[in-house]
Amino acid sequence: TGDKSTEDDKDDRAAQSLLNKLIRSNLVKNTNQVEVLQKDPNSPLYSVRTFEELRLKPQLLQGVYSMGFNRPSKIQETALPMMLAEPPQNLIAQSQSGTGKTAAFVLAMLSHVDPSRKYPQCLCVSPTYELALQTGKVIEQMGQYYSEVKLVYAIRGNKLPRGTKLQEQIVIGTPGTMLDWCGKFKFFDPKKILVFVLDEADVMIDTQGHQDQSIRIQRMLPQSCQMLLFSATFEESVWNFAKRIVPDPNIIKLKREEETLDTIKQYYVLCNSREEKFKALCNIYGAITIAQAMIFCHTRKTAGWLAGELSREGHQVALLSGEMQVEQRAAVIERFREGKEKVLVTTNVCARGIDVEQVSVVINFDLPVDKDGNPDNETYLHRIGRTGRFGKRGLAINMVDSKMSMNILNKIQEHFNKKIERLDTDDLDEIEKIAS
Amino acid sequence: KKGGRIASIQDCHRKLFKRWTFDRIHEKYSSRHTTKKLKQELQKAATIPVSQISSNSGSQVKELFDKIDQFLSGQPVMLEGKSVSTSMHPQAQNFAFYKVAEKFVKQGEEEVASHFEAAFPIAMVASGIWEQHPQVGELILAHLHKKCPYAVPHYPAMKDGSTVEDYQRLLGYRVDSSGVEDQNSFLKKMSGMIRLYAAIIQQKWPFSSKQGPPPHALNHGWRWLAQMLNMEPVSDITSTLLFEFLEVCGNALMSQYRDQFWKLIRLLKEEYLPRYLQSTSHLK
Amino acid sequence: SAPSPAAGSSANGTSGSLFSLESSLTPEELNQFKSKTFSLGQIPLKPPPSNMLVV
Ligand SMILES: Nc1ncnc2c1ncn2[C@@H]1O[C@H](COP(=O)(O)OP(=O)(O)O)[C@@H](O)[C@H]1O
Repeated sequence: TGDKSTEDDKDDRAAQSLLNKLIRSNLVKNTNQVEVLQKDPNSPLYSVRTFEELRLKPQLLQGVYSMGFNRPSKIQETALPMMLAEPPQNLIAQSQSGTGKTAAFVLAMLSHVDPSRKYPQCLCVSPTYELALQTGKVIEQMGQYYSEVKLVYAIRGNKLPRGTKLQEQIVIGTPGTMLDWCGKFKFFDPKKILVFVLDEADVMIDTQGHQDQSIRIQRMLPQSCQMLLFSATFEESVWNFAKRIVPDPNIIKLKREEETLDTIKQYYVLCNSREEKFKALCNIYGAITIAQAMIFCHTRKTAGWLAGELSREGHQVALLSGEMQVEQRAAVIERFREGKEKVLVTTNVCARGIDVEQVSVVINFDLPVDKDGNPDNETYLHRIGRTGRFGKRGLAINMVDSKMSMNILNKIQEHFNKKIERLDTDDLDEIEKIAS
Repeated sequence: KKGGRIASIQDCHRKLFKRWTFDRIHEKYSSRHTTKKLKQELQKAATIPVSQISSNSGSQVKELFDKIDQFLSGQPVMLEGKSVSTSMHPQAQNFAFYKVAEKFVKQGEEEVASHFEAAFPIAMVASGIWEQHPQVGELILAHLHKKCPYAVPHYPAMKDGSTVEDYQRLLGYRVDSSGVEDQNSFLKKMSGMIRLYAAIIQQKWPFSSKQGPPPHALNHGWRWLAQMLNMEPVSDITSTLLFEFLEVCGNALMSQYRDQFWKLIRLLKEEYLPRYLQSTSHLK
Repeated sequence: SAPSPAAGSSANGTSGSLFSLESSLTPEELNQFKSKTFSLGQIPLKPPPSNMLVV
């Protein structure tokens, strides 16, 4: 029954990260240079342009290609040779989500295991159960031609009988369960671990206890074990944590690609009521071809109402809002991704994470404002900004229904110093022009 | 001789395009507000159901087909609580034909481009509408060939006196004040339209009352592929289109034309591709 | 000049038929279909006749 504003839609990082994984099917393009800080600056720095150069096991190369990867991503070009080097090198790597970190460390783990030895050799800790499952899926895909390598999940609910000795070479799980499995229950011998991966360090430190548990696991591992840590962001706290987990690291960083409004055509529509806004929306649909659109509303109530009106007109509409569980949200987004629904109506909840390639049009049914009703420029940029990905243009249409919202629009215009044009939605020919 | 044939196909489409062209229809309207309003309503009634086709469910697709079919047949349909019909104006039906056809192709250009599976439900409905309303089929081809000359297939040549921008547009690139569309986006768009075409030629509307192949059937797939291989390859557009086309309807062509299809594929592999690689090696 | 119903493809977009009639093919086209391989640049644009699917 809550019709609170943005507050309840605020989301934790783990959920956001999971949503990102679930909806992403492509590399995020990044044109920045990788920064490298080597442990031993005198040793030569390798980077590879092809997967062949890595001399992977044929089964793994086949796995990589069957996932549709043609060449290493930017971060992989530098990270993979370091991770696959002999002797193994420790690595701390930071780059925004979607740049290929998971694929990189999965490949490293699969390359280092000896499948003929039937005990755990690689550990991978993730902040949540769901994230661990996602990484597990990547391991299964990449290892699809390497079936001797087995995988087990150290996650809550996966209860093993006492005295179990694990046969699987790779253990992936959350810090708490992982710690229990190697410390308390001794399901495997930590001294035999060759590779230790800590994924999503920035998300990890958000959860009470995770830091501590991860460090306790790390302390049980041998000196020779390769330590790898990945993070999407790098605040001071993440950095301090990383240094405690990874001794003598190589460090690589890839700056986030700046979002811009340069390739976006921005318009506003003047209306007097939400009914008029709805009418304008119908006209837009009648005039331009929209592969998929996202429509943002300020409140759940408006979002619910709008979704209802749209489906009455025969549109396939998905509704996403704050009170839904992550799994439910993921399911909704997945359906939207698959094109089962072509309109996604949402409150602020997924303004940040979602990156659906097909979304060519973003409609701000309500303009983004913060708690105090001031324009939320950052959210605006995030909703409609592009990083020049796929060179695709975007279209953003803002609905203005009062003096106050006109005021907000003007401020957004000033902030970005980019003109937002008026659009007359009563004239279909006019609307058609903006999309050609 | 072959050049002549393509020219004649194009010529034919150009004529068709003229015959149905929006401008001619538009001319017949006065600019009076009421007519403009009617036109807008017709446009919405024609295009919105096409944009709503999704892989969601078969029954939804059937409903949308019925809606489009009824509307094109002159029956009233409901739009935003009002009834709209092509009987409201003598030119309304032609206008609706034109807009529906245009919308199918745009759906290929926009939606299929970023979402390949969408080709199948859209093509299924298009094929059914084509069967019921052959003029729509002709217009689909006309729109398609205009937006994607490779669907003919044909690689347009630059004409004397035309500007680079005009030529880029002719090739299917979007050119606006910010410059020419990037290659990736262009290839995706073309892939979308070729996929839609490849899906149309092998799909029949499942509830069709008519026997036999779809209205624009696999013989056109044969012709497309044969013509493609008869022409000199052109950088990345050629490989992209061949791949998309074969992925969608290679299997259907194989079951239809058996050894003759294999001969095409063998030629592709043994002669065409080596030539292609040679002609594009300088790009690396 | 309406194409014969069996003509492989017709330019106006309305369907021809799935297969060509042998009688509608030129000698060159027939030779291409009879041969074990096609020659580049000379692949018939009309579909093969239905009795020539096995070479
Ligand atoms: N070298 C590559 N080529 C193409 N796609 C890739 C490559 N590496 C990863 N991907 C894909 O890109 C997406 C993001 O990769 P992922 O490893 O999950 O990134 P991150 O862990 O940095 O979020 C995934 O869909 C993945 O399958």
